[in-house]
Amino acid sequence: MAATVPDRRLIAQHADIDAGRAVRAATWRDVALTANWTLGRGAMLVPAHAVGLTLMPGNEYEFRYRVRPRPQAIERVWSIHSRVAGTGPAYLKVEVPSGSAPVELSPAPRRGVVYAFRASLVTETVAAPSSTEQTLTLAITPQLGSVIIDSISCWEVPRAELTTNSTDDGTDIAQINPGQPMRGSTVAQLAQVYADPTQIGRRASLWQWAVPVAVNGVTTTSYAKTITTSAPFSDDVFSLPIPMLARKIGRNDITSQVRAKVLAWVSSGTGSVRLVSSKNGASGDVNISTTTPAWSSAITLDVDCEDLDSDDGRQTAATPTWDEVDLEARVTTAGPTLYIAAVSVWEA
Amino acid sequence: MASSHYRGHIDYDPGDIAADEPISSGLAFQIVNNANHLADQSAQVRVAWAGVELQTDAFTAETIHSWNHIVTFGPFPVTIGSDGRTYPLRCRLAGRCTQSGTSGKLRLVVGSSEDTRLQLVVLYPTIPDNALQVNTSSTSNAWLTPWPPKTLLTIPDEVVRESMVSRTTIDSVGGDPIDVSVVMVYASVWGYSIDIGTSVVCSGAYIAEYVGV
Repeated sequence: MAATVPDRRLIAQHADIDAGRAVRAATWRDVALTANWTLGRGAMLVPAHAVGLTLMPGNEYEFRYRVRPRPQAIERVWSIHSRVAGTGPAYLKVEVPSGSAPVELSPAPRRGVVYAFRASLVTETVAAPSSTEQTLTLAITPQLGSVIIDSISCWEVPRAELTTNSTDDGTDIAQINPGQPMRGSTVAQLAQVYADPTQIGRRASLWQWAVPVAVNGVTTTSYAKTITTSAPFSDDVFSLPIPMLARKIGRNDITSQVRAKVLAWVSSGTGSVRLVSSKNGASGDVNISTTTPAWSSAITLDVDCEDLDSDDGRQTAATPTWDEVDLEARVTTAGPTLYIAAVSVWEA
Repeated sequence: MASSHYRGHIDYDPGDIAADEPISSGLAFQIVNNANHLADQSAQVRVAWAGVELQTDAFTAETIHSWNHIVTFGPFPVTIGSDGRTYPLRCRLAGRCTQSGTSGKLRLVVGSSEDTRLQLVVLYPTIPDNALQVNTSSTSNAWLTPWPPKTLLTIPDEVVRESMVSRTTIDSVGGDPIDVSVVMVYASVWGYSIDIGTSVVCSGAYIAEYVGV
């Protein structure tokens, strides 16, 4: 079996297909390699976000992210930019997931020096690949001195080759030989892969943000965004909305649906959150009534998808504008506090 | 550039395809279209950040009249198209000044792991293809319009070559070591504060791949 994943993509040629005549094996081979490439090159699970928080030595800080990985991914890499907060030495112990064997990393001595441009990388092996929505955890423990975490990101490592089972959906290139009959199962496999666009090439995450939700295993409110404003919705969680463009599926689509969850809790009472698109309206409200950190119910929202006739993908080609998404939050009655420690938005 | 015939996914019923029976050239055309379209659209969002007040004070350029390194993202892999070039990157920067009546500049540079290159790029008098610059004189956080106008960054071929690394992974769950080639790039934000007594602050960054027109 050789479901090879090429380093660069191919473009299968439409012009090579003539009505009423057999399709060349070379065309099917290009389609198969394109399928393996699209399935196997990995997705960005956590688009990089800045953190800008100083973490104290000897304490373990836990970050959580909600993602829907690609089922083909068997390794993921966490990239962490950090620097020493004071003048003394310091290093980090990092666990991915939280509770696993720690990896020791060196922060940069300060901003602007050579080492500040190099990230610390930690590889996480995926024991059971799955596209099921799940929580990723990252635990950071500074040692000797305080450390500033500048940015965090996570991406899936590309596969060199896929298996041909129903999880990987790889296509065996060795079965496609010019001048020889195609196996019906090979064509059926490719037809199956490309029948459902939700199963291939997902834009895995559109926005991820997290701050420590627990220190030494105990819930902390020190870093979470706090909301005390009661109705109506008026409190933007972030200083600015996030630009968002989803994947275009159908040929006439101008929007696609995204799904979001927030890691939130309240001191008492009930809080509420929603997403608001600058061009496509607001999602429904999602209530938060748990007093310990938990992922909210799903928030769904239509956002602009890419316009492939536009110079930079924005809708519409003639007068491109940004679709910007805000997270709004409130408490339903004055008094309680709503805490938000993570926001995750991914393709529905 | 976009490569599918219909610029969208075409629905068909895979149940109509029986193993060991021929398929029509029309269906083959649709499969080719879908393969190209979904490869076009498998572009990823690499950076998506807008600060909360708690954090943005950490991302300032405090020394005036020189470029200050503010924050670096990555490294992250970038998608390689059929021509061997990376998908173009749709980018934005947000920021503000800390004092009214003052001004500052921010630059976003996407480059290889060579630190000198990132530093050299910000010294260029003109903005290279893999960088964009925004100017601000406001004390309010805002996504800023690049000057000169630019939304897409392209990574020069020589940077792609420098950034291609061979990474060891495993060939399957619990399997053997195997190497894969990836082009890994960093994205750095630099700030330049022009007036005494002010700092320019970066409060947001966004980088997403786009296959191009």
